[in-house]
Amino acid sequence: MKLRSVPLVFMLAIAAVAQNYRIVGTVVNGANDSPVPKCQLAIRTEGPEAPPRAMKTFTTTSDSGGHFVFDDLAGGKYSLTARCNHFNAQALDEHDGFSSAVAVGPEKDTTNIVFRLAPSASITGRIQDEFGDPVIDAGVLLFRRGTSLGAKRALLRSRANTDHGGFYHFYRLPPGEYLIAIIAHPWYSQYQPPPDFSREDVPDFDVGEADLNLTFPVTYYSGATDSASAQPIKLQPGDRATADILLSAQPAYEIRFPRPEADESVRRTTMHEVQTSIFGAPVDVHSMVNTMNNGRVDVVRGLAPGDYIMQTRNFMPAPNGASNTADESRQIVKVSNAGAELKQTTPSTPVTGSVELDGIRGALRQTTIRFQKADGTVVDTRTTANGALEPFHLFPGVYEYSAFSQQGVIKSLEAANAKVIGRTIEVADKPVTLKVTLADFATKITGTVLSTEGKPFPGAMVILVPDDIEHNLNIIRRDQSDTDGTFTLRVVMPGKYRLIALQDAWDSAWSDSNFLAPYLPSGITIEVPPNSPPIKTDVKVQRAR
Amino acid sequence: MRSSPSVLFLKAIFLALLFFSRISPAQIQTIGPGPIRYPNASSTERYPLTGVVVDAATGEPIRHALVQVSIEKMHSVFTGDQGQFEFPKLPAGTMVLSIVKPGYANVRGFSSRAMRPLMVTVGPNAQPVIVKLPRQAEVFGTITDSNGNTIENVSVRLMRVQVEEGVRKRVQINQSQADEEGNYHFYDLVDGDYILSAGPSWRDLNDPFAPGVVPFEYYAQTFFPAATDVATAATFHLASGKNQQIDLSLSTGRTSIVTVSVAGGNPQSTTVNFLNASGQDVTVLQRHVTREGFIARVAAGPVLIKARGNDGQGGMLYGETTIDASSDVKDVHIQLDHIQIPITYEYQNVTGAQVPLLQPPQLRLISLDPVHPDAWAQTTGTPGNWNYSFTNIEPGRYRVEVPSNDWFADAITSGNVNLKTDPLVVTPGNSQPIEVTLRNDSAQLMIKVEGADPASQSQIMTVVVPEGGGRPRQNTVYSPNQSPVLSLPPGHYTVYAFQDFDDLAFADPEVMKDFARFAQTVELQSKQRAEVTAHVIRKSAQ
Repeated sequence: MKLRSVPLVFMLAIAAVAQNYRIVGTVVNGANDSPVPKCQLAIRTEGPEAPPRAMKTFTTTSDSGGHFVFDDLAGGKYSLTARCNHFNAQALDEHDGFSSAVAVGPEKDTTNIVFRLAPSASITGRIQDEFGDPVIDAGVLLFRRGTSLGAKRALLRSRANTDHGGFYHFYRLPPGEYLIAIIAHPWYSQYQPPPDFSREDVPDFDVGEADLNLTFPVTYYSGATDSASAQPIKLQPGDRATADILLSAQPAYEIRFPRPEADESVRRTTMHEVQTSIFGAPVDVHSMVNTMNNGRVDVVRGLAPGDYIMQTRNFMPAPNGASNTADESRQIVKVSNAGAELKQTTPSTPVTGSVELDGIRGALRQTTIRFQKADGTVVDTRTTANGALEPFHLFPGVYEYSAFSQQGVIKSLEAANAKVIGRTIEVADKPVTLKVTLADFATKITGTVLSTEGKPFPGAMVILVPDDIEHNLNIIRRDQSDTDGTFTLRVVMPGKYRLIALQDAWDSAWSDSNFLAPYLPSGITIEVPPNSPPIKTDVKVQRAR
Repeated sequence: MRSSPSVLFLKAIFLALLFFSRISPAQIQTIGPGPIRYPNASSTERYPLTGVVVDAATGEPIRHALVQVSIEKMHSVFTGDQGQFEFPKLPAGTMVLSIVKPGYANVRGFSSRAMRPLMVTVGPNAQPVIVKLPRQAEVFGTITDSNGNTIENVSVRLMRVQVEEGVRKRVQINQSQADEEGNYHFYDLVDGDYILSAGPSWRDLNDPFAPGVVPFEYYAQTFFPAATDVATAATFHLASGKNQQIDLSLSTGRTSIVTVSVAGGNPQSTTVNFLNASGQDVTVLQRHVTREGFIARVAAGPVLIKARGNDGQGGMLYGETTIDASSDVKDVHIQLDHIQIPITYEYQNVTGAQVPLLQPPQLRLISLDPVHPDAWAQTTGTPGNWNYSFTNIEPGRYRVEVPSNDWFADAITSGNVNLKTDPLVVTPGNSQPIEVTLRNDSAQLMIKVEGADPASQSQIMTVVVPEGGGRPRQNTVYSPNQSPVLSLPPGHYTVYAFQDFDDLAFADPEVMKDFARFAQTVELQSKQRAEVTAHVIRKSAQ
């Protein structure tokens, strides 16, 4: 069952059929199997396409032995959620946005449910400088090694700031491997303008005074300043880890670059974003940006030695009063004690296009087309009233594309001056024109996951793997089998697939073709034609290796 | 134009006067300001300035504190392992020193009211400076229910009781979320009186607005030690350097559902707030359900509903009503309306002098409710045909303040309410004008101060209280020991001088009653230049 975020609902009468089923179970701490009392449990009717308002919610509280009972239930599927002190609110057997719904009905034993709560872990730490002072308001970035669009890598999970004691605290963390990076400035850091040498009587005050133009380099737990030496923190369920980090100030440098020659007829605004790449993720560096010399030179100050990505946007007033991005460029600059060295300049590529409907009645409603890079960067553009896309810019590279529309899914995307393979588009430096066609031609696949003995198998990860997976990552579909082994895959695009079900694979690189390769031969081949009626098929579970 | 250093320094003194008039006397010990000599940067003579920074309580040296002096540019040094610092070459003169160290009350020039300026004199015979920094306090603890079970993620608020312009106020200075084990921690607190609260907290899997739902776990906002209304909350004192543990147990509370419709404004801009008598927001959850309708779950009890919106043309609209939300309340209706209070001025030119009066004094409203901002009167129209009014101000209770210059307010009224002594009550739809009568025969009072403790570095403050109510005038005495108070309306006054008093609520007659026997009374005639000698009231001598 896929967890849907629907508001908790108003009660509406549902025609009661045989109101004689029960859900009986025990809530236990997943770390030690001890019962958890005083949990609030809720069940909600889980009609596959039921509108949120037709759902019904019942609640109960676990007793001192962790036992709970829901009586007088009609047959059907129910999502089961628990809210307990010291645990995240969670659904039964919850993984990665999926959980197992409880199927209630004839010959379904739902009187012995064990609700195993996943205990969460925490990391606490104190950031101090070399003088033992707390580093206040330091940016603490928490990365977790996990799976993103096919690959295992360090993913930015959350960001916190240290308090006035220099402490940070991340909690409710799932088990796994974590990395921590710190972006901070010393409390005393100040920029001092150099003496004005045009004056003759320059005061000689500076002898023996302190240099405050210092900063902290990006520092990784447990103190390294290069990401390769970052020390991972391994968290088991319920762990409380401590990760203190000592920062050491270094001279700060600046990047200066001239502005483009001002065209007096156009009022434009220039914005700079300074980013550094931490485990492949672009992270904003909070440094000072000043404009000097009557607006002709921009200066970015307070930078530690290292490579930076300078993103520059020139905004021009659009005719309708909105501010449109006129152009954009990205420079990679190496900052060191020898000065700032420009390593690479990449201008962005302008993109225009239109959206059409195929076989959908009515006019096009507003649609967002999304382009996502492997590093997580997202660029969105929307349709205007006449079906054109708002002009936008993409930096050269490969993007996955997808649509947010109430009317359908992307049937095809054609591009001039760009290469389209599967659900990816590769943009170079030539202006791109897109033609996007939306169609309502997807279907759904339902069925039951079976054990090797042919019995319904709950809690398995069901994966619908498209051919040429590298170029079709965003049409992979997943579900978790419910207590009766059943599953539903929604919005399945036409195409060729393999359907597999895996046991104990929730923490795997589930969209990596190398990981999937050994399981695909035992999967079921499915070819989905356009506008297919719902497909029904069972699948045998495979044990993850 | 480039200001000369002496002009800059005079500006600094002026700022210092403004500054001293707002803050409590400095606690730091320094060599005294002595006779003021202006730094002369163009002179070639240079002198070292040395000193030491220590912990005020323990006398331990404070290392790696930032010491700065601003003369032509910012000069910066850090203290060494023994707390010592040295500026090798500075011009002679009196200047402001600032010292910053995390975890300590900082002394930082004129930049903020929480910090106190420290004057030092540089020259051939300058003594080393000794700076004693008080360590900041901390407060930490755990939030639990009445059974001692910790409550997670609950919001924790810290208020400080402080005096602003002679009025004691509760000011929220910090807010954070307790962690998953109910723990909170606030750092960097100056010594003073505080109020701690936590909640409300709502945790339930049911629809919060379903009829008949009894909340699974609802905790009312609770003030240490066990009050649910800020008016009955206890204060606790945090002394410098104190690391105080305060645990708080939240009481389970009752809630009610209230539905409100708000008419008259642009629906997208309309917002509602649910407040108790102390001005606390008592909303647990709120939802905008229809174009004009809201549903909210609020703490049970009397509730003031305040609604605001706009008219789509830049004008603000207000409405409010009080309900008894002991149980669910349905279909509360609020009509939004403009607030426009015209101001009219009448001049009594008593002296007959040709005083060029360009603009009358601009009226200011000082909010007497905890939730509203102060407001300034607005001027519209054209030269020679000006209109004055208060518009777009929140309903509530205000004190009306009229700055005195050559003209002072002899009378301020709204209908038959005397606004010199009574508050202005602003309600939506109200357009009763404020009438100000101005006169130009003000008196001056020179207060000579005697009996000050010459060894104390604390500032001396004078307070002049008009008889029969009205706003006291407060001044900080700068060298020498006298303090001029200008533009006083003729009448009877009580005059006080204080030293060593932190946070004196001089606008509170109850507070001032204790000092009446030390005070001088004076009667000022029209245009009189009077002089009075006030004996300093010292806290240490009490």
